[in-house]
Amino acid sequence: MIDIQDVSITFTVGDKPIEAVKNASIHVNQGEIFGIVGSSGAGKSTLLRAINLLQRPTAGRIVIDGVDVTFFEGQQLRELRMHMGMIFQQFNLIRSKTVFDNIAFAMKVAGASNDEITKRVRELLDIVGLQGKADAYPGQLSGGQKQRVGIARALANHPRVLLCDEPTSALDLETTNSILELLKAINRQMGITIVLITHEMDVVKKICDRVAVMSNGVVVENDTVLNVFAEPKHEFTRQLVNHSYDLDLPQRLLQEQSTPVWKIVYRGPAAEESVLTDTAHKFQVKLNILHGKIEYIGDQPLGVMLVTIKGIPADVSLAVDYIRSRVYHMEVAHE
Amino acid sequence: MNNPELLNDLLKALLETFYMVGISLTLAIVLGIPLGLLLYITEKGLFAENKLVNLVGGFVINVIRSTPYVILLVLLLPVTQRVIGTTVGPFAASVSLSVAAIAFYARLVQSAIWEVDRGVIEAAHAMGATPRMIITDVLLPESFPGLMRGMTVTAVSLIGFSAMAGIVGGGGVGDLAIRFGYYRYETDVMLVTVVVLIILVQCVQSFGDYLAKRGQR
Repeated sequence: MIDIQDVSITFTVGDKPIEAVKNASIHVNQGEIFGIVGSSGAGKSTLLRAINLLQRPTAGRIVIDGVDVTFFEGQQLRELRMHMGMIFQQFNLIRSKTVFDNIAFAMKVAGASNDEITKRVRELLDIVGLQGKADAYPGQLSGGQKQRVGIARALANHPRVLLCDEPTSALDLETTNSILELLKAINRQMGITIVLITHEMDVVKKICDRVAVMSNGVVVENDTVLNVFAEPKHEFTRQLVNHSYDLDLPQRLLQEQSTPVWKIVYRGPAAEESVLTDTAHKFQVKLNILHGKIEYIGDQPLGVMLVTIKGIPADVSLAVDYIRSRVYHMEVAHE
Repeated sequence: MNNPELLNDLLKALLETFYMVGISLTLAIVLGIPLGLLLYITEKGLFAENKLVNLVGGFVINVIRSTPYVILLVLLLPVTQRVIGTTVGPFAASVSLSVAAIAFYARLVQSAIWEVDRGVIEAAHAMGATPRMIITDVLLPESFPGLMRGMTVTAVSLIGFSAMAGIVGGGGVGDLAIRFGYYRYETDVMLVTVVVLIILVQCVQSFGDYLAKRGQR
């Protein structure tokens, strides 16, 4: 539904051109939650803004539902934006207006009547769980509540797409989870396509179906979340995933190891089987688990384990072959 | 000081001050806000970006603001003569006062709107709002407290300027203080008029603060 085709975006700072986005191509399907992840300055925010043309591409095209919108101007552009909600890291609410008037403003923009506005705002406040806050000012709300107003405002004109610019980066962990739950519910129940940018892999893991990884303005990876986590291809993605797993071993422990430390990645049904126990029964080896984690992405398990295998070399080699045949991936993590 | 004639003079002077400040402040609001807005929205990166308008507007305002008020008053005497038909009296003085006030307030308006969070403007663009809606529903309400504070500063400055206008026959309280207190060495008259001016300024300031607070959220 959203096609970003070979988009480049160049800014001129002083007289130096800066390439924020380089030849990015992304396809977002109808009804999915698509994540764009990367460190700050990677160009992800610029790329997101290209979708509703807050940032016009220097080269390439933005195609939405088969319509090339790259050069939309004036009323045509405003109508396109009315049907694309957007929420922001800093919420960007109008401080001098009440919650009601903030949401009403978005509808006024689209030319709604007062009756429609009154009815719809009540509906929206129910959806985001802010009943009774209609007359509060943003200054009287918590961060999570402000983001809920932002979401209500973004949904006001029945958009088909919701663009989220680091929606949880200004929130604490608990509030982050509740906002992500809300976004997921909106996606599943209303069928609204969501494009979300974040620098946190955890956010991607929790709600995204597919993800693009950006580094220095380039889309370096673009796949399902499970694939990216199971087998990150680009060095930068590997760092992100490792960081998210947090499977670092203390230096002391590594130095004490006389045998290699193996990294085993399980995925799908294998993660629910007892591969290590079976191995220990079958071969004359001692398995020692140093670190491990099983994550559920969507409802798919993905496990990573760091183990040492001790025994005479022949047995070890048989055991390794056996494990390798049953898991998704196995490699030496430390010699 | 218990001279009824002096009391009459004082009341007349007060009325003249009200005229001068009232007229020029009204014009400053009516013309200064659009001018300040124009300066803001023509800045780089904003929706009506226009380097020429921004530079020319800024330059004209700077010329008016850097000219000492007494000089401005004299320079504008021919204009005053054409517009009002005379160069004496509070209405004549209002011409140069208005010009100074519009330029002064326009800058304050611009800097008040500067304080509006750019993210909120971006959000309005993302909703598909027209420039007109961004001005009426975002820029003006969001900068309201700043606009009110700027108005207060302008009004207080105008009370001061209006005393200078008195020198060339504008009248007003400041003029009274100079004529009686300074030229005639009637120190008590001068003191009374100064006290009146202080009270006037205090009232304006309190009212302005009240308005600014009402818009603060």
